[in-house]
Amino acid sequence: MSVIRDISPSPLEKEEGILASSAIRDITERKQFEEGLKRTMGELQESESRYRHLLASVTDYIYTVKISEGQAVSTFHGPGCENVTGYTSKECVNDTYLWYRMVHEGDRDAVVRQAAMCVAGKAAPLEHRIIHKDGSLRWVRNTPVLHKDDKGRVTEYDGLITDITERKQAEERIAQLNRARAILGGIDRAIVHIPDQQELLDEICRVAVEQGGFKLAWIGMVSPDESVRLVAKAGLTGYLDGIRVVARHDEPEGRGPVGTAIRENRPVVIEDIDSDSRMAPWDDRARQFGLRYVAAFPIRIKDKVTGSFQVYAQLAGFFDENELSLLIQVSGDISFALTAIEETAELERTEAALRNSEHRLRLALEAAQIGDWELDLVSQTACRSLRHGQIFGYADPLPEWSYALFLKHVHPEDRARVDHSFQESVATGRNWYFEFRIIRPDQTVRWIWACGSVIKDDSGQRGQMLGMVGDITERKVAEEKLRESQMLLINTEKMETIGRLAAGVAHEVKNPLAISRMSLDYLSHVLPEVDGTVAGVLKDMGDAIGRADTIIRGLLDFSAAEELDPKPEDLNSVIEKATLMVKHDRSMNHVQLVTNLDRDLPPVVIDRNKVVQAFVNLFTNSIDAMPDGGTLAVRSYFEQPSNPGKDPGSRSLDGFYVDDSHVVVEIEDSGSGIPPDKLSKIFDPFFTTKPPGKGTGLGLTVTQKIIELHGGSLEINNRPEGGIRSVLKFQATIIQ
Amino acid sequence: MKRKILIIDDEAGFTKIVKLTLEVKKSYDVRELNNPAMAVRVAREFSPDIILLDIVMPELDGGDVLAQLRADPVLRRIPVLLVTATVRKKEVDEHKGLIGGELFVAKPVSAEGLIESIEEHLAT
Repeated sequence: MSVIRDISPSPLEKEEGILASSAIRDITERKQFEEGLKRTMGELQESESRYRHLLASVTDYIYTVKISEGQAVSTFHGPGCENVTGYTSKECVNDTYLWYRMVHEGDRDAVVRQAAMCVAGKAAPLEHRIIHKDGSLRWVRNTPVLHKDDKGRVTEYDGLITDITERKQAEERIAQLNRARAILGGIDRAIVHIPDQQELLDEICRVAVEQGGFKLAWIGMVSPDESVRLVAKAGLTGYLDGIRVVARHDEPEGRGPVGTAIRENRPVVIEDIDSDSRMAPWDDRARQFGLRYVAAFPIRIKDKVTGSFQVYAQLAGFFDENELSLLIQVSGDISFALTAIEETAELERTEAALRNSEHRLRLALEAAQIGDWELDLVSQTACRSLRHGQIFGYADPLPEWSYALFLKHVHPEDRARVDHSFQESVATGRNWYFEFRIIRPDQTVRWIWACGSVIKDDSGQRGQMLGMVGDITERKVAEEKLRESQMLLINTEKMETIGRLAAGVAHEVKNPLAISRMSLDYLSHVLPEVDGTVAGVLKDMGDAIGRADTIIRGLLDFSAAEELDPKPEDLNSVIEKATLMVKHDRSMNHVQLVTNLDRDLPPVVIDRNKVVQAFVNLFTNSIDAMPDGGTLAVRSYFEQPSNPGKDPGSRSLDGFYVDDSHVVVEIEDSGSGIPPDKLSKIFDPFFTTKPPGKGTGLGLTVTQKIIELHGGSLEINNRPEGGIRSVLKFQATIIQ
Repeated sequence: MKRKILIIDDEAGFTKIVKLTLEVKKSYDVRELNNPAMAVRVAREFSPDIILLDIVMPELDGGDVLAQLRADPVLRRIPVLLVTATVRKKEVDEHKGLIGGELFVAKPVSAEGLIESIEEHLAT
């Protein structure tokens, strides 16, 4: 179909111009003129006839309106009329206003205006719509051609009606395609330039409406409860007020374009809202707002459908497939952009969380006074925090730090173990933790802990060790104190138990002792003259009663921590007294006594009876350990230890350190010894290795307590040759 | 005239041997009493010159007995020597507070030690 772009001046008008100019020609040429006129008129008629014929042959339709006194008086409809409008020219002639009615309502004013302009002498083409007799909408181009008399008045005009429906449709498609492209371009620009999600969604809707020609565009996101929440919109106001859309299939509001697009992850187009049951929940609303067309496109963030973008138009079938494919591309771009924004936000959140966590870690480390370090396992060099330097005794950090330098600071006694555990950790990749001592530049010894974790580099090699370090000197000191006080507490509890027991036992034991004592005195009195042996036995009995009483008294004293009655004594005489007291037991077991006592011992300040008791206990134990005979060796000597490394007066659990000298007594037996696993328990109350009825389990407990009360020490060990060796040390008194 | 001694102690073995010993050694007239509840009655009847009194006894202890004796107008002036198996200074101190400065002898005591304390007490 050809498109008529312009109309040339009509031949008629041309001829009139010629006539006007010919009127002033010479009269003598009149005859010639009249002949010419005749010929010309003939040519004119022929031309007019050709013209009409020509017009009749085109598929378009021509009408002619005759004008008289500025009024249209008759209209002629050409044969093409039926072709274009569906109505015959006869129908048009018979129905005066049919031409007006067939014009599309919306264009009637323009058509009437054009007709009025033609009558007034001004012709301009008009494109408008008509309703074809078959009811279809057609676009026509109406091109008027004016005919004027010699006074310039319009006597008639022709209108050339050309069907331009197909062209119009093509133009509309192009326009729509351009709109779709404009949406795509506008949205792509927005995606590039707008980093904020909400602003981007707003802009997308705005572009769809302003550049895409849609009446309404909005974006909804799926909430956890599967309702669709409006997050951005542009265009028509009111339609979305209070609207309910869900993504579930089990509700009508979920089976519309939006719900379906979200649920099925595909674009959904409603070509005509009026006739599509899927729009049932909203069709009244759509009608009220004049919306006929809707297309919804799923929006995916990270491959998961999270919402939908939809556009509305007032015309059914607003977009064809080509345009839709562009819009699908748009929705893909939106998804891409939102995913990127989400990922950026996620990255930012992660980075912020990391920064936050690093900050918190730094605060925590500082609060805990923990230093941190990073050691490059290849170069063996390290970076470390200020606190790290302070822990190692440097107010200002050293310019460089390395593993070797670190090891130099480790206390020599701990160095090998620290290095070993560190190297093992590097080799195995296991975490490293160690508590050890360091020596600071000012020579102070500090306890620290250090831990580290091996980090592999990209190639999987162990490239780095990250770690922390803290000063635990105070903790170590406190632990030692705690351990000591716990030991003290345990001992105190033991003693209290013994004390309660001893008090209970004392009364019960002392009564039989009192009877025995009195009975002995009675017997001594009533018996006739006795020989030496009987007298000896009676004396031994008296001694035994005395010893039993002393044990009870000693036990009570010991448990009650009674004050000692210390006096300077010769320790040798104490030993001799004790050996005498076990003489009977010794001879019963055929135990030989070997004494080697230093006669030049300085005096020791002791409670004689208590220390005698201690020795008796030790001797008795040894004798009991040798039921088939053996040797009990007792040696005393004077010792002046020189131990300048220890503070005078300081004590430890296994010994004491004094500035002055002390007296040592060693007791050795050739008995059965103490099973190694029992050695740690020998001082426990009621612990005994003796057969039932033989020992009380209190002997060594009492003995140790007595020695401790004197500030002395007692060590008991198995001898390599068999039997045990007990070593007692008493502080020697320097007599001024 | 023989000195009369009343020994009050729930331990019959002890009172018996003390009686025997004191009687052979010093010819005292010794009366044993193992039930401290009878103390006042027996003391009134026997009229001892001195009473040897155990402290730790079941039901009625030496302190209670001493209080009864001191509350009795007849017996209140009779000297009392405490003979006790309790040797812990703290406990003795506690009982001393109750009995008010009585002499005391710790078990086991030798015959000589006991006689010495009795004589000393009788002399005052």
